Amino acid sequence: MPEAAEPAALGRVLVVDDASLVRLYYRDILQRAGFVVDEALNGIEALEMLLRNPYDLLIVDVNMPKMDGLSFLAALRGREAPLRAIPALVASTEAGSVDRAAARAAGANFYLVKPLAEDVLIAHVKVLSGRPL
Amino acid sequence: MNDLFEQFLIEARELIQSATEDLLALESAPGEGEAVNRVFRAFHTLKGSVGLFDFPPLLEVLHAAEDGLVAARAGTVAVDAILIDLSLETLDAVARWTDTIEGQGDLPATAGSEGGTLVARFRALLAPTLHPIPRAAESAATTRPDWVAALVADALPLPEGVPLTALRYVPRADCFFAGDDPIGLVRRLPSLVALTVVPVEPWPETGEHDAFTCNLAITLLTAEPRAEVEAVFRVVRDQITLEPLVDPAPAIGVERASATLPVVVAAILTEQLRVIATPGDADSDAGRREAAGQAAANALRSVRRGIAAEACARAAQQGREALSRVLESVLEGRDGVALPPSVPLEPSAETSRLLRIDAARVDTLIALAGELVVARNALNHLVLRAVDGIQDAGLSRAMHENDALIGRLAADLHRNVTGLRLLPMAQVFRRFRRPVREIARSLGKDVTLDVRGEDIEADKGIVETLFDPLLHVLRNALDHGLEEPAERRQAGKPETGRIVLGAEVQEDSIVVTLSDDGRGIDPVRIRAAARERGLVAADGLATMSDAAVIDLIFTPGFSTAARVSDVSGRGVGMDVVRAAATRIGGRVSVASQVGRGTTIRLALPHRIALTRIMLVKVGPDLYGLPLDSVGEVVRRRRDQILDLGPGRATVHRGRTVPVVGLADLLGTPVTARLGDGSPDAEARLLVLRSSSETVALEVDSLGARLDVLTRPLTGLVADAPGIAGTTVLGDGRVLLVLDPQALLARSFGTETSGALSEGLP
Repeated sequence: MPEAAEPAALGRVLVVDDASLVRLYYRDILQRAGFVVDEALNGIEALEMLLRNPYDLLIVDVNMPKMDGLSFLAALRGREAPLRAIPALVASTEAGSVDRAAARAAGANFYLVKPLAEDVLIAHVKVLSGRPL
Repeated sequence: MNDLFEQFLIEARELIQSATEDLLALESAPGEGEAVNRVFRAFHTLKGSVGLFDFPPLLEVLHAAEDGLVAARAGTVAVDAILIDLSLETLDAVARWTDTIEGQGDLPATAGSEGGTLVARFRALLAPTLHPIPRAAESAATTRPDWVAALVADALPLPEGVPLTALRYVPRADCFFAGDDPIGLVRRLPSLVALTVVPVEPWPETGEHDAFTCNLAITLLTAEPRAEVEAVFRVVRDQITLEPLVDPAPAIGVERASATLPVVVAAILTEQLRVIATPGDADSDAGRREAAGQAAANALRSVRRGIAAEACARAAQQGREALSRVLESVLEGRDGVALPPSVPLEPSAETSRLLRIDAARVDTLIALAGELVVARNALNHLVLRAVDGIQDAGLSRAMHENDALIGRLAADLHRNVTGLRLLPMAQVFRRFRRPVREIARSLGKDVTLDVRGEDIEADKGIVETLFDPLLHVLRNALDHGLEEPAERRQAGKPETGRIVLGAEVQEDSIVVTLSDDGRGIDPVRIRAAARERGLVAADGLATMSDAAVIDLIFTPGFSTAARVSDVSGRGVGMDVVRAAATRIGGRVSVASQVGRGTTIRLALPHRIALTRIMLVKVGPDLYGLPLDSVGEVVRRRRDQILDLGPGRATVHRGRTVPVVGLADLLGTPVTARLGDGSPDAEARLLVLRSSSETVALEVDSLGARLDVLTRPLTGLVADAPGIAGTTVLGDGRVLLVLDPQALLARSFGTETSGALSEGLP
């Protein structure tokens, strides 16, 4: 875990998204903001990562192959404490209220509609992970 | 704890005390502007001092209280019972917390949540009540467009009476070329309550998307009146739809919700409320709740609302209800969770080690020390003359005078040093105003507390241990002594009861009295209770005087409380008071008249005084005996002391008194004894003053009587029986001061002593 040694990190964020460009976009913004960013391509990978490293926040896409974001979140929330209590930000292209409700039911803590502006992303990540705004 | 913190503790306790007094004064005379100022300054100073340490909940609470008092000074918040109660509760909390910090080095675990509640209550005083929009707005309008309904559903709680306008803004696709700045326009609306930005058309594939085309639909809620919104968006008037939700109403001095919490934070908190309200999979319920708690706590931490964050984290562990309650109260800026009824100030278990000394007393000590140095220099001069062999009448007179001077200075010095431990009774008396008020209020009784003799001083140890027993007596007086207002009226008494707490000096002791003008103690009831509990044999009870019967209230386990009261409780009776008083060398008594009231009287030692001892010699050794243990000094011819086998005895004042040799008690070797055994020789006997049995103690010779300061034994010999302590004699020798009663008890015990008496004619 080389990242764990970085002393100045604001926190460690796991990005769960199948789109490499999106992951790159998040990583770029959040690293510049001082976060350590790990990536997972789907829910199954994300669960594995979660067992290996401690995370302050998850940024989760909804539509992903193998295990979608909401199934992943529901599975995570059913795990043991404190793993299940990691806050999650869902970022989806869907803006409907049905999608929002489904995300809440799965255990998302906030819902943002893509695309995310840099300042919006940073503000939400900071607030959800408890870093000074 | 470091020095700085110790200083803080002293200062904090004084400030808490003075602020408490001012608050209580304000309660009876709310118009006292200067008192409000003093309370404010006390809180302000406390806050400043707390800031030197790292106790965030303490700081936040004091900060909130200070804000409240600033408003009170400015007149925007009324100085009423609510503000006074809240301020007093805060002082209680601060006092308890600083005690815990002193004892354990850190705040109590509950400080975060308790502090959060106090902070929220102060905020609630300052801010108008906030109402979530959805309930109000939803019921008001059913015919609104969907986008308005969606916005309202997402909105943050807003103060009542604030204007509210919904706006939908779909910038033209070529707006960027037209010089419009959609985000810039939105930013010019100062009080944004909700905002969504969605694409008008589904986003095309990345490659086909034209970044210079605007595909956004912005909807927002703002706490600005319609006219204001129109003014901001006038250049794009054709692209907006306005929907005024709340008519501009007089909204003067209303603090905006966005001013207290950043929008992102408020939005995330609101979302957590929705998350936990949304039904989900049963397996993941706990996880979702905990995650919501974590997210909310994080959000609050991000804006340094540590107390609220802690409250969220705790509530998440407790359950959904608890969490939503905390979230709602944080969002509404009003933590409605009531505190448990405030507990009267209790002293910390260990009395403080620090002594606060009046500067004048230190000055006196310094002056005395200076005089002593001068006197010693003079003595040195005289000694040198004596060494030189100069012998004249002047020298011996000068030395005599010098000796007298040094003696006087030493006595003064001693008196002043022991005086350092003296504290005025005010220190303990003043602490009762709060509890009396709280207890009386909880009992629905009216009472005035009259305090007298606050200036009388007593040893710190005594003053500080007085609180608990006196509080107990006070509770009893309020609970059992004073009647309900109606009963008092019937009895022809003023409805407001009166309790007098006083101190006065009587001879060698300080007498603390606590009188009430209540119903008094009925000896009939005490007799019945004593009979019922079998405290005294029935025939014994019949012959007892009423006063003796009333004195039974001090018997362990005695209680006449017909009903259990949460004030004085049951089972812990006045025996505790007597035990506490005895521990500090005092005595308790009671006087009562049915229908007139009860007075409890505590007679306490004035101070830790010098012990007056008598020097006695046994063989080659010198000992001290406390004079108060010696009843009489008698000389007896040896032939008047009879050897009775198990022991010796003599007749003294018509009674047979056992004679015990101090040498025997101390185990002095026989060879070392000097006593002249001849029948004509006189033995020196000290008749001991004792409650149980008279014993004559034989010593070899008697010496001077001295006033000495005895020190208890320490270290390995700390528990040596029969020794009261040590003192240093003029020539530097250490003198053991004996405790003859303990010596006798150790050497003979009751059995032998009994056998001694039995053997006598």
